[in-house]
Amino acid sequence: MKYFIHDHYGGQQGLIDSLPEGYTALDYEHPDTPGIIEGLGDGANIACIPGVVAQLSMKYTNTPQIEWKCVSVSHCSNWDEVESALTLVETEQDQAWELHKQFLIDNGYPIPD
Amino acid sequence: MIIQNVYSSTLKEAMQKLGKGASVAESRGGGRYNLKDLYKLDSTGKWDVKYPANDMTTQRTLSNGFVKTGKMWLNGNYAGHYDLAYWNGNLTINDDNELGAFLDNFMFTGNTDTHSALVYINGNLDIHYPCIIKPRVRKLFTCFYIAGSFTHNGLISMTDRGANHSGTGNSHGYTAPIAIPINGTITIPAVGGAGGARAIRTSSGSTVNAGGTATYGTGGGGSGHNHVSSSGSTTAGAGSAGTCFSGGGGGCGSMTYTASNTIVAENDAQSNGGAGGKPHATVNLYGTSGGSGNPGGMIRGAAGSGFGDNTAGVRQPSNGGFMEQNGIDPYKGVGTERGPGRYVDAGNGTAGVFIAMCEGDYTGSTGRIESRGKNHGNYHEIGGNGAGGGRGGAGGGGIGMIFGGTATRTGPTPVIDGGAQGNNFGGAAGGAGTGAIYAL
Repeated sequence: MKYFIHDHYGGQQGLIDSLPEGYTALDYEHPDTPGIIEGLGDGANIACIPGVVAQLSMKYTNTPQIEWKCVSVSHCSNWDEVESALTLVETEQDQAWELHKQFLIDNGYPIPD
Repeated sequence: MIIQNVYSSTLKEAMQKLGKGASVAESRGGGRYNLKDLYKLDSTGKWDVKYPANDMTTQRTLSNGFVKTGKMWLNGNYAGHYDLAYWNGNLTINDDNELGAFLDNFMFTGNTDTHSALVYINGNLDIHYPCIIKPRVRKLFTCFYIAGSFTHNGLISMTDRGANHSGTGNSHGYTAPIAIPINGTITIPAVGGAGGARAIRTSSGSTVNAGGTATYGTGGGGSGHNHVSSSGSTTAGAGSAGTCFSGGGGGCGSMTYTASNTIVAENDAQSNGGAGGKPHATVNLYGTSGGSGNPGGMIRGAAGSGFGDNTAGVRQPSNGGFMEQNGIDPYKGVGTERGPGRYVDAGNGTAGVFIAMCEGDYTGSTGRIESRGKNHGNYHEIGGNGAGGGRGGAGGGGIGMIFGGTATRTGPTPVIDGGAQGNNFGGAAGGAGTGAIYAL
């Protein structure tokens, strides 16, 4: 499940109207919304509006870690762009881990699992 | 300058009290003159003239254009000092005149942390692109009251202008957080979203805790990023809660290979818009980064080799991180491109509070109102000349509330995101603040 956090001022109506399967749309001003997101765990909260809260595969070590993240989609006008925004977060952390790993190798440290 | 304390049940009522009568400027004929001076003034029609508050020919000769200052109580609670600027008549700010620079001085004093900035427009307000309205210093809050319509196509920002009202560190004075009743319906709570809790790890991997949100409130700051490369027991600093005058700050980050660390209070962001969490006192393979706040925490270089210019164990301003979010800038950094260089603004600043009330329509198609938390540049910084390690937490979002007096409230919705979590071992995101449009 993924959560699309929006406001009700009309700016995201196109995305709401074409909500893909597997998404739930939540108005951030609804009193229940913060609790729903906080209840997902992983220290997740609503950080941006519009945003998508989804479980992403974050590579901080060789073994990816699945975490709930709130990702800004303010620049997205369709769901392909939203998916790209989510993928970018994972991709950039992958790149960061590769740099990190190379640094450890260069300095003679074993790579942890 | 007129000194007037104001006692009101709501901020709307206070603005109306202060605005009415503010146009009756004091006569500038007072003082001691000799007969020659008096004759000259009288013969040129300048003696005992009551100038309107926005008279350009006289205002330009003043050090500022403020017409009122004093203390404010809202619903019986002390809401700090205020400075009020009054503009009589319609005001259009566009790129065809020179008002932009002048208005910065007209609207905002240099009173930091202890004062709110109030602006009363006795007419219509029309802001064109690319005019920017932003106080030069931190304010308790900024409030515009517009007796006519409000057309907004420029930029109004309270990013980095949240008050450090803690009375500690670089704060200019303590003001207790209070509930701020706006119009009898909406009230900004004294305490905003909770800060992200300290992030604890006892095994390989990463942990972050984002800042929380609050109804009608500011966002809490995020914890630092806590990364254990191989083994160890480590803790990253907590974010601080948002308040009615500021988004929360971020806690310090932590990154180790096998070492453990002990956390103390200074590693957490300080309350009431105070300092960001300071970096840990000891480092090992990686450095440690402070969180955002007033001021932002510095970084401490790593103890390992291959860290370029960073001196091990020495705190210094954060490099490459903590930028004001700039999502609309087509030339912003992308991917792993780093932000502004070392010593540039670091993680200083928390999101502030902006409120606008207009009795007429609220419109505008290209305008933007922002009060966003400070975030990290999306840049990975482990080796080379970087020693940031696990990054400090981002700041919570601020408040942007627009109140319109008619059913036409189609102007831009304020953007109040918390600082984002960088994708590269970044500190936790700040919680979103409140950005909304309501009926006056």
